[in-house]
Amino acid sequence: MDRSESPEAVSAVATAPTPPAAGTTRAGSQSKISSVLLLVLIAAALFRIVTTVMDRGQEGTAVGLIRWTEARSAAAAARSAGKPILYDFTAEWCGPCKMLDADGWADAKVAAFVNESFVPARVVDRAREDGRNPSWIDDLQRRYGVNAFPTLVVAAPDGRQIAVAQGYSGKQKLTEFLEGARGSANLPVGR
Amino acid sequence: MIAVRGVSKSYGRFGRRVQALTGVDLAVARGETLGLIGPNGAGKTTLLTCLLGFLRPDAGSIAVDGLAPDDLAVRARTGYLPERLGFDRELPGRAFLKHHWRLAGGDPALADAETERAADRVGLDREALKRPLRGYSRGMLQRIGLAQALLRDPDLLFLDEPASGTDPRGVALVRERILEAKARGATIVLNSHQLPEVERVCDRIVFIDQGRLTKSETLKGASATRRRGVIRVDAGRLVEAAAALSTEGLAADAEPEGWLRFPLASDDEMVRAIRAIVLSGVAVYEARVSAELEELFEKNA
Amino acid sequence: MSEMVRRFVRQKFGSGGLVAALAVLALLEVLGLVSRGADRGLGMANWAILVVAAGSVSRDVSSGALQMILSRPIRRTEYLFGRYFGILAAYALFLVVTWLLTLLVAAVMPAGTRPAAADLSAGTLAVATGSAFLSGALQASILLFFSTFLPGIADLLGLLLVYLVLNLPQMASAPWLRNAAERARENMLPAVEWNEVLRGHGVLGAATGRWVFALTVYLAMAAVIFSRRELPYGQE
Repeated sequence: MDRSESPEAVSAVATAPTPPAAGTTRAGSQSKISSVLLLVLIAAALFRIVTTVMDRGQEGTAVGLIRWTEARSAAAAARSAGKPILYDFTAEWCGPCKMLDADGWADAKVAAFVNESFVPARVVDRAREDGRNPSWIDDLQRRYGVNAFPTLVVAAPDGRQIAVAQGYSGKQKLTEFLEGARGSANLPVGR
Repeated sequence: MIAVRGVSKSYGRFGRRVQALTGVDLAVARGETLGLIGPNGAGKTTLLTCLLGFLRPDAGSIAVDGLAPDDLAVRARTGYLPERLGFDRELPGRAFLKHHWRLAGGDPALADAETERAADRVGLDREALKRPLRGYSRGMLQRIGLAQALLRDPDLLFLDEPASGTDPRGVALVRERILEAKARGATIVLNSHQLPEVERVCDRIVFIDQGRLTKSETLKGASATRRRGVIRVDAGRLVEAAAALSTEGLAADAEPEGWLRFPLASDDEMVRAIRAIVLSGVAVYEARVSAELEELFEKNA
Repeated sequence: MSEMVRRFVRQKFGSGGLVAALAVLALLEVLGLVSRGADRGLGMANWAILVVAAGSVSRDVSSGALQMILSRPIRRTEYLFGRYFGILAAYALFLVVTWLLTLLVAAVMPAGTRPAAADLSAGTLAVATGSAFLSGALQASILLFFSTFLPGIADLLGLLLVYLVLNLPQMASAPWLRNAAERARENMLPAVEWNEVLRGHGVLGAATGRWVFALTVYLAMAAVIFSRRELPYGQE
């Protein structure tokens, strides 16, 4: 009674179907998006690499065995690491500074302790050589009342001063100062 | 225009997979109005969702004019009315339509005029447009949904239960709009339970049951594959009427209130059927040719 | 995409509850700023970004609005970044309102009542607001990422999970675990001294580079997931 009830007839009821695209692959517009995304990702990665390298470059040659952080990102690094900052205010022309570098920072045990317990950052004064410092160095020196070199300042990540030591009086005193400062910092683990 | 080949789709996680569609083959010609009918949960909505490119079939392919269904070129010509309208309630009707007008790529300068035109065509007045969708009745939501689907006169329309929850005036409006779109050559895929409406607007229907496309019937024109004659006679003289039909070679099913249903090979047979009954002296109260789509639901076990 | 941004802002500020929550946060912020000053940044801003950004994509998925929108000739990434910039726009609005209110309150307060130490200079306030915006932008990108595949406001849980996973190991004794967590945190939740950066120090620093990279990665992951995602119909 009824015509064309069978499933075969179903596909027969077609009127010149247009040939389909290969499966249901994404439309062309979608693949263009992926290449844009890829480019953006690569650009961001490059930016990241460049900025990291530039940061490292600013630290200059490695001094002793300390893993120095760039002074301006020290606060952020300290916050995420949950450690206090150790600023080493120093200058090229300063004799005691060189002694600190050679004796203190080059010592394996001291360096290990500093690397483990602080975010160490070097702030090199350039007033004599260049005539003036960049403003951020002036700001930092002013904030911690630095007027002689070397001055070691231990600060909390929010900038609060915890301990300060002027001059270099030998490895023993240095170690005592550092250990004492770490204790006073007494930061809770984490942020 | 739309070519569906061997499409299968399943849902769900391991251990609870539901096979929503199996081996569906379907072709919709340009300018054709196709009705998808079938029991609840049969996979009609899944099929529609695949046609719209929101689901990727596990097997098989779907192409619209040779392109992937989610191609932007296809989208630009598509109007879609989903079954459920639960969105952007805080927007006033006008803002909602203007938003879709702009999304569809319409000229922003014409947004106001086109919005009003669209609202007029679905019977929504200016007052209604000012109100947020939150305050719309179900029927009004259907209307504005339809208005949205018809923006920019798409030549590909997907309508999922467009008349559900509307009053008779709303149903008539939907029918008028569909026929209007048809007249300008649009290809329409309609998912609906309102069988009389389906019969009025669709050129062809396919019946989907448990994920398979089990029947395809052409409803209109000389090649119509499904015709029924339905005649109501004086209930007391049913037997005589049935006998009259059988002399014409038409075997009828009789129902108590005086209905006789019988398959027809052509409209001419209907003329003969009526004449046979009248000449046998039985009064004919009603007569129509119909596809009687409800019967499709009964036969499938 | 501007259409998507506009829609997002309208969606958010059309919701009475959300506006009320933001108003409360703004008031608390203003009170805090006026009493403490702006040099330590904005405290409530974090909550504001959570309120604004939660469920940004999942809401449209569950309401069915996404299917209707995506039936239009709009790319998925256009929609997604429209949502993201919408979040930023709504958040910026919150910050600007807070900023203006603070200036207003500070100006109107009688001379003796305001704590003298509170630094509410335009510069400090601007830097604090800018910092809040930038750190909020990163959090929003993480929330957006989670919202592309988690339902409802589970993206908030995702963010919480990230914070937990990256911070808990700090309490561990094994240094390798602490170091690994520190390294992971640096990369996934980079902390930037925005106060310094916005004053011009360390703009091209390693921290900024990490932040830019992290933000890009979260947004890229969100874009990839969202582009591939299927949208089955409804919750029937």
